[in-house]
Amino acid sequence: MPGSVYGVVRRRVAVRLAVGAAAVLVIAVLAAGVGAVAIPLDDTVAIALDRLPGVSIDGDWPASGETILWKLRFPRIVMAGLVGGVLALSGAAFQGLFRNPLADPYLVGVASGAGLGAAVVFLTGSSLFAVGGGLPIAAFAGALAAVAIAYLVARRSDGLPLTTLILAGVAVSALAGAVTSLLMIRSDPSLRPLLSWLLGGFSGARWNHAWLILPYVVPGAVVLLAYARVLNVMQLGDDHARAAGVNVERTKIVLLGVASLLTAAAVAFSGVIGFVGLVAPHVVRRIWGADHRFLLPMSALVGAGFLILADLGARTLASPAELPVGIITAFAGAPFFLFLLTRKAR
Amino acid sequence: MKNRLLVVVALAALMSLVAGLACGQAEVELAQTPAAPEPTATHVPEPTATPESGPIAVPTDTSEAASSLTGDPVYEPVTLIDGAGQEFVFTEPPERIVAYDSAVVEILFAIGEGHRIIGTHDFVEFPAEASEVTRVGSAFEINVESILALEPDLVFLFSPGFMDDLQGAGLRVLFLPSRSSGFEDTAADIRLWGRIAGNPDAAEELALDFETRLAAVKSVLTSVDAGPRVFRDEGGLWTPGPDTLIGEVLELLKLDNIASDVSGFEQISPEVIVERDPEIIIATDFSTIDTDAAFASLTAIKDGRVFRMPGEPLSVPGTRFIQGIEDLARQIYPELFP
Repeated sequence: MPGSVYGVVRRRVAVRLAVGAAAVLVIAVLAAGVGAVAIPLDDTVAIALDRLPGVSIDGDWPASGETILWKLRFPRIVMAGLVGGVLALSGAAFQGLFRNPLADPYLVGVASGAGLGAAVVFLTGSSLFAVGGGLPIAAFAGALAAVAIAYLVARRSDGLPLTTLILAGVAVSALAGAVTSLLMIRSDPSLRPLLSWLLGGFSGARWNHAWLILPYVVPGAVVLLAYARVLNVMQLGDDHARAAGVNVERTKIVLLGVASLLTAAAVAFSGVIGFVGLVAPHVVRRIWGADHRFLLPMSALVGAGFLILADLGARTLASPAELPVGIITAFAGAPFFLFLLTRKAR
Repeated sequence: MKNRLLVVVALAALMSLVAGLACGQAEVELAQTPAAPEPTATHVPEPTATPESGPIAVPTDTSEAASSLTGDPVYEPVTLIDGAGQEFVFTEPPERIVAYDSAVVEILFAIGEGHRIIGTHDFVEFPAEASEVTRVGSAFEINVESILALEPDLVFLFSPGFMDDLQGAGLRVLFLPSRSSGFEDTAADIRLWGRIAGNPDAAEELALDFETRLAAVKSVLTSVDAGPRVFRDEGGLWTPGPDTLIGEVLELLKLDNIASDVSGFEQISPEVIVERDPEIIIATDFSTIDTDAAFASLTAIKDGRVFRMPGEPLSVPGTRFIQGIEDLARQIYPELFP
């Protein structure tokens, strides 16, 4: 009976996703136990439990330990997970939408737009915004502006040709990137904070950042996941999708808009972190196949786990110094990706 | 079609406007120069960074110079080994110098020899007279053609990157690495440039001023055993280690740099800052550490001891360096430096 086969598949998918979610949770907990400053495990557990509602633990852990864990390390892990999940989810959606394995969340200009926004605010100084507060806003605005421009340029009266959109995105990226480079080269070496931001990192991650991006992340993720079945149909080509009753043009605009919004929110605080959005969906596709109903949520989980681990490396490998997390994602991700490419695709 | 074209044109105009705006702003507001030690600079062996191997000026036979009949003060030839290991001899002062280094521009103007400078790079902003000097490139790129057009008789470089190009074009190029540590040798640099420019007396006066004021700061601080723990935030939690110019100044001021295990400039872990709990924070305008809730429990924040100090002048080992030291000393020890 087809119905029961479908039920078995569904159950298997649900189990895999549950295992994936549990794995991310385990990674997060383990990552919380390690940091630039060593904090005894029992203190770590006590400090974490003490924060749970209705739990109060009497302990004599040092106040610095509580600050480090609660105000620095925990929000950092949460942000790394959120951003990794968002980038991977957006990357999977873009790869599906553009039917292009090279697509990543930055394809249509989000990264360079955000970079330009950040550079302008940073270099015009605190008179315009207080740096820190103003930089994420400008990065967010720059990211969305770049996508909007690419969209406006590529739009036709009868729809949105995706190839033109990609080309417009490439051109907008190049232009924004060139202006950013010009700003930096005309400036001077005190640009280190800007450079760190451009390379991506979670050194500045705090709880309020997580609260600020959640209103974008949660509804955005829900919308993308809801389009999984439509993305499956879209793989057959626009005409087939239309024949199957999909409103292709609306789908393009929704996916482009939502994935860009998600990516812009992620990039605003953490900077431009490469590789996660490209690789995580490919890993999932190679191992488990290309059904978007599974591909999208599993990519998010893989991206979250991967970026938490990468940030663990960023904050511990060069301790007491920080490494840009984008360097770690490329160092760890690229060889694994190459290895994966040598294996037969499913 | 027409609409789309309009969008593109408007966009290009907007971007160039933004670029122009930011460039202009950046030049005004960012008062640092390429002489600031870059993250990689400290990993490069620097033959002239230590006094033993520095650009030692060897007095040469003065008899030929003494035969000058012009009536001008006698020019003592200067011989030195440059950063590329080549012997360099000055038998007369260079008249048309392209000085690709903030500290050297400062020094030459301070000893009254700034008129010899005919070209420099984009980031040189001090002294005010230097703003009229022709610009021939940024710290990262150099315009060989515009340098050639200036017809200099000496090009001074702080990094060897463009040496081959310039020498290949037939120019006389002196390269001495910019100091990323060893600030006390600034006095020697001043004396050296005084001799090269043929004005050793003015240089001696300036160098003595540097040494006297430095000694005064040191003698006041002999009463301090161990100063407070300090964190220097260059912005984004980038901080100098002890092997940087500013790191050396912190040590001179008996401050206990919490980034003592950092080499050059690095972005330090926020966890480490909390654990080491600085009692004083010296921040640039790029720093947001005092408004970050995660750092609210630091002693420095609770005591309200966050000082603002720009990157300059303590990143350029020139004539303003001693003033930077004194200003910082006054901020941190107001009772010792009234």
